[in-house]
Amino acid sequence: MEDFEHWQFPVDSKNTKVLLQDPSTSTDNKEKSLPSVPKEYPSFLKDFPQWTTARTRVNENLNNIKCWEELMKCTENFLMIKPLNDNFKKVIHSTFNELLTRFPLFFGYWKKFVSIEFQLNGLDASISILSRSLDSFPNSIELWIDYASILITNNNLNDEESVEKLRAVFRRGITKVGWQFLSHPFWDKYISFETNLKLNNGTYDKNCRLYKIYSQVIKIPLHQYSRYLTEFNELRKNFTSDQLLEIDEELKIAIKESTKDKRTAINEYFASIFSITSQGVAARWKYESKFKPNYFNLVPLQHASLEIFQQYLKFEELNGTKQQIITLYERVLVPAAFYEKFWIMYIRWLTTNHADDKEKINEVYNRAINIFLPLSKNHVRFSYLFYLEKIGEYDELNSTFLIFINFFSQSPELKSAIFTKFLNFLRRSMSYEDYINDMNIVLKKYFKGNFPSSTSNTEETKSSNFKKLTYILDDSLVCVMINSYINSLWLFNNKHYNKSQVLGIFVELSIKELLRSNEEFWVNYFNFTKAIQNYGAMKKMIHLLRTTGRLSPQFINDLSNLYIDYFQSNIKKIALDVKLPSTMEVHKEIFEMKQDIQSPIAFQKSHKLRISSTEGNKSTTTDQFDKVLHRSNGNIGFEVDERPLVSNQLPIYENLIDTPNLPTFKNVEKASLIANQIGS
Amino acid sequence: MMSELEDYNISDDKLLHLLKDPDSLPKWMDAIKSIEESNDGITKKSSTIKKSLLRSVYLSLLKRFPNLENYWIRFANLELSLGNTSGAEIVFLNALKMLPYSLKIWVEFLRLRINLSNFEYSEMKNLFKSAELKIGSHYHSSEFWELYLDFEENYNAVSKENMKYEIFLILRKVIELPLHQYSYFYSKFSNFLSEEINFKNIRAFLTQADLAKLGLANEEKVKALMKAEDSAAQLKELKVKVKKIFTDLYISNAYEVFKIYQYESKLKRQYFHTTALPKQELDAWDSYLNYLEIKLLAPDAAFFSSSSNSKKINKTVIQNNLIQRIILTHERCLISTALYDRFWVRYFWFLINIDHFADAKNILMRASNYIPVSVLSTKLLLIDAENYDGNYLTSRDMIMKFLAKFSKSPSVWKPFLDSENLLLNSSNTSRTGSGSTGNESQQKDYVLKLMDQSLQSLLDYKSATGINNPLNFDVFFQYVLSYDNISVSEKLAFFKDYESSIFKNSATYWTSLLKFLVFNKDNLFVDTTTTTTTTTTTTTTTTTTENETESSLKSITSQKTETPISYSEIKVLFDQSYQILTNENPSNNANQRYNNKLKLFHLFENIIVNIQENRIKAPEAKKINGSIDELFEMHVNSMLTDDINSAFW
Repeated sequence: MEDFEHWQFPVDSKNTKVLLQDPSTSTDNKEKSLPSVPKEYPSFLKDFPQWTTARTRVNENLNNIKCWEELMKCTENFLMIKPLNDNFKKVIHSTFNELLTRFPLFFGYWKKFVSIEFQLNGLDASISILSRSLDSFPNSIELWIDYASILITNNNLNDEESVEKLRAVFRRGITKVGWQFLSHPFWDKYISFETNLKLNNGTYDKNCRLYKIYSQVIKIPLHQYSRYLTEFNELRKNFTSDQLLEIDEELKIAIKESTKDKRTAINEYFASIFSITSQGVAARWKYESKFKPNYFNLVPLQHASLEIFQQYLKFEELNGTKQQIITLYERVLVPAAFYEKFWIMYIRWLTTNHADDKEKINEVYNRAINIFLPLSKNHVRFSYLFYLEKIGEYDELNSTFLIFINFFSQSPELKSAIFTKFLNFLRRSMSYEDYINDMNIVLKKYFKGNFPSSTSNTEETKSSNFKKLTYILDDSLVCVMINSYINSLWLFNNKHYNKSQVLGIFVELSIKELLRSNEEFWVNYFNFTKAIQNYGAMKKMIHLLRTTGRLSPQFINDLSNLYIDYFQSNIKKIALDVKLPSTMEVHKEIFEMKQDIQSPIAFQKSHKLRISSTEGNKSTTTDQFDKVLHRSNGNIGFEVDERPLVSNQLPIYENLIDTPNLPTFKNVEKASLIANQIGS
Repeated sequence: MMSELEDYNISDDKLLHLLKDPDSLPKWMDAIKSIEESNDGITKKSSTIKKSLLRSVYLSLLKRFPNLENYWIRFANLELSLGNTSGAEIVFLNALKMLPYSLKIWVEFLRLRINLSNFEYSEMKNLFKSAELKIGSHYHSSEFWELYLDFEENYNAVSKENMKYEIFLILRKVIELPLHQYSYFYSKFSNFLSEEINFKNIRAFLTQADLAKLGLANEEKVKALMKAEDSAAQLKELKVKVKKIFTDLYISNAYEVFKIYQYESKLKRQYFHTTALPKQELDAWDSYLNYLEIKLLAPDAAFFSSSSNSKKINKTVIQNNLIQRIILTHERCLISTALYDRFWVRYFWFLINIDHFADAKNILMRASNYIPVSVLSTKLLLIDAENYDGNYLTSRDMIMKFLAKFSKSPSVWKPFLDSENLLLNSSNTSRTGSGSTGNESQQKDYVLKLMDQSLQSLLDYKSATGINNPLNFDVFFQYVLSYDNISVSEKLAFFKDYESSIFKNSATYWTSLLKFLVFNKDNLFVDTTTTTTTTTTTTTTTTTTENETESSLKSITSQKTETPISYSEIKVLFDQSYQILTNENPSNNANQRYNNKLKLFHLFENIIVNIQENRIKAPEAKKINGSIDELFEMHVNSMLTDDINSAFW
């Protein structure tokens, strides 16, 4: 996490929905700018320089907890303004929303937000914030307790319907947090709610309801398990054995076979539950005692914590129930929400053991992919693509591809990688002929007809997915597409292809401005000429790359060295194939290539040609070279035009034996200027 | 010899230390010091044995490290102190043979000759002239020039006029040179101008053309001026004119000195030592040389003009001066950087670029005396140069020599195999590469045979001794792919032969194999549409039993010569390589394993692009089997390791 400060999250990428529509039918296809980075602050904020400073700092350090803390403090200070107008309310809202959208696991800020909302807009509004908080952070015991409390205080507990609603809330809460080792405050809340109810349904009914809760909680290895057992044993005294068997189905089944008398059998049954639960607690204690931190924060975790989490998860996977395992993963993924490994472990466990639970798998994937994992960590995202393809969710897969491409709009490398995977998928989902045909149509359209054709094509693509592609295609993606297209013509073509036709396409494409800066294209071109053993074509290709390619010298030289190695291995064959008078010609080519690569900078001819062509200069005079060199190698100070020079220099490689002429000069008029410069 | 040493009490273990470690310069220095200081130092009276011992130590040291300028001088001084003046001269002459551009040695040599004062003026003058051509433009050459001027002043045997004239010529030349002490010489020249030149002798110091420009073309005119009343004023006026011209010269030269000062000032260690030079200093040399070389391209130097296609253009004096300075700077540079191959290499390429081909080759030969034996760059470059010259046999001899020395270094094998392929491989031209079938394939390709032998002997050696690790020879599996005269089936067989050797642990082996399969699918693969059913069955069986995967390559090759492979068989190979590279090999660390995985995934995904083509006929077919599941599982399972430090975090 050392580069944490610079991480980008899905929330940082642009609005995605726009992309999925045909821009011609959509009325508003402007890219929405993010609320987080307003260009200018509205005038009413000008009197709050502290706030705007904090805001600016957050904009520059979106992942920095200190900056956020400062901003939130300043935002809360707005509450002291009397009267508070809507403008400020809006700012308060949007700031909290922004923080909690970015980092939904900050339960402290959720609580603050709820109480501020109560002050601003009253009870109902604050309840709806609280309910939103549970959607975003459903595993927070604190938030569930707050939610339950606020509902209990503000509902009519004598109304059967309200009470049932509350019970439903508790039951939902229990499924989310009830298996957490420290969940007793919520269980206690539940128990005390039932205990304190004044509804007049009689003591027996109340005891039955309590019994149901207790019989659930005593089976869970919780920190407070023994207290619950004691309380449960107290509660049990209110029931006869027959009553117990009537209300506790599990108990009834468990002791059915027993030959002992009912009371003994029942006691033994609960004793065994107690023993199992206490063993469960004991076994987990060694992990629980070291389980920290258990809250979310924006700082890296210690290795020790990661180690404990990992060991505990392994233990639980082997020993726990589905509910326990899920609960533990969810707990770990609070402090470790940014650690991809735990997400992958979670997904592996789910897909291996509960492949049918597609809803859960999707839900976990969604959180990992769309909220928590930074855009630089993508194993989970990539695996989701394969998952969707595997389970046959093609529509979902299509839109996921488009969303991902949008996620990575800032990272050309990842964007291309995703797009390649997308094309591979399309390739798999249709016939070879259709794929080539559709590709060709899309590419032709993009280049306004100026694209080499390999098929007799129709106007419309067969696949609607290809049609969608035209909306997102840009220069970088079109390069990926061209590479996939041309590889499909030879490398991924199961039939024998026409070598000279494909070569013709390569040649035609190689002069395209776009592809000059595309590494993959040149690697493909190289591999192709190698595969068809066309040495002349390879030589032309390398020389074109060396003189016009807009790629790093490193890349160009690496590929040129491969070329040299390959030529060196085939000298005799090349001389014969290309009809050279002797093998020396091949050695000459190799040597001159090496000269061009290894010579000192002043003598790297194609390097200089490349730069001057990049500079937009068609002229290749030495004069241009030098200006270019001067720029490309800053420490070489060389001002062509200003240098004073003796034009009839005496040769230093000969002895002077006669009186020489007086010196004559070039640029001497500048000499005095320079003399001053040197003098200073 | 050792026993005699003991007799003469030089049994110091310094020499013993040295004998054990002859590459250690400090030990050499210690040894010399200890001999020189033993028994009250070394004098004419010292024993012959001690003298000859010392001489032989000096000779061996200077043979080992010829760049030690100061030791050459010390050696010469030793001879001098022993009364052996001709010996001292021989030492200098030998030094100059090794270091013809050494300023220090030239200066000391000239000084010695002058001090001996048994010279002929003209002979000595010639010596100065040769020195001038070598080191005259050295940035620090003022010491030399002063010596030269002194020499003329004190020993000119011709005439006083001639002495003055020679001094004028020296000064006239030196004021054009960008030297550290440029202004000192300029003021000398300036004084000479004001004090020594008059109407009487002016015709000697100006050319006819210049005299004409100054209105002095006519001898009578000069005589008239001489006699004129305002002769002094006229002379002064004339000198002002001339001086103005030389001021411009001074400024032009100052500009160049200013330019090179920024490099010169960074060169702290201008002598040889075996300790490493700081990076800044190496960089300073590089940028200095770049600066000078780029000047060659300037319009006024115009050495490489794109308009002139002919390589043999007439070089101007400006160009030649620059070339001379660049050569001198390279030579200076190499005195302190001789252990760094890159400076030899750049010198080589410089000479190649100015068409000094023979000199360039010579540089590489000189380099071999200095750079460590194990550094191959200059040696391999020399082989290239010989090949370029068409001297195939010479280059082959050189390669054979290297190979004898560095048979454990795969990078020497590539040029060796290439040269054998060029000179000896009979199968080379008779075949058309991949498509070949029939009888020819019975005779194994010669290069392939060589690789085989080499690998075999490595593996035998390993099993015999158990110490050598031949794994870095896995590049052979990369090499084999680049020989077009080896047929596809031979290549496949080659991979097969080593599938259960130690190379199965090599990422290079597997990626090369997979690449080979992908790029040669035309010759290797069946049209899978016809064998869909068998394909699926192989996949299921092979993934369940490991023994089956073991023999996968064998089954491919045991079929008829150019038998195609199906994609499912590739998948089997992939699984095998995957297992080996990611799990079984403890020598790979976590990061390596992780990178191997990514590399393999990428390859595999490329393969898989097509697999589906033959399995699902239409997009409606919801049921996808096989590869995608596998890819998914790979992504989910493979990245997980227990190692907390793995790159995955």
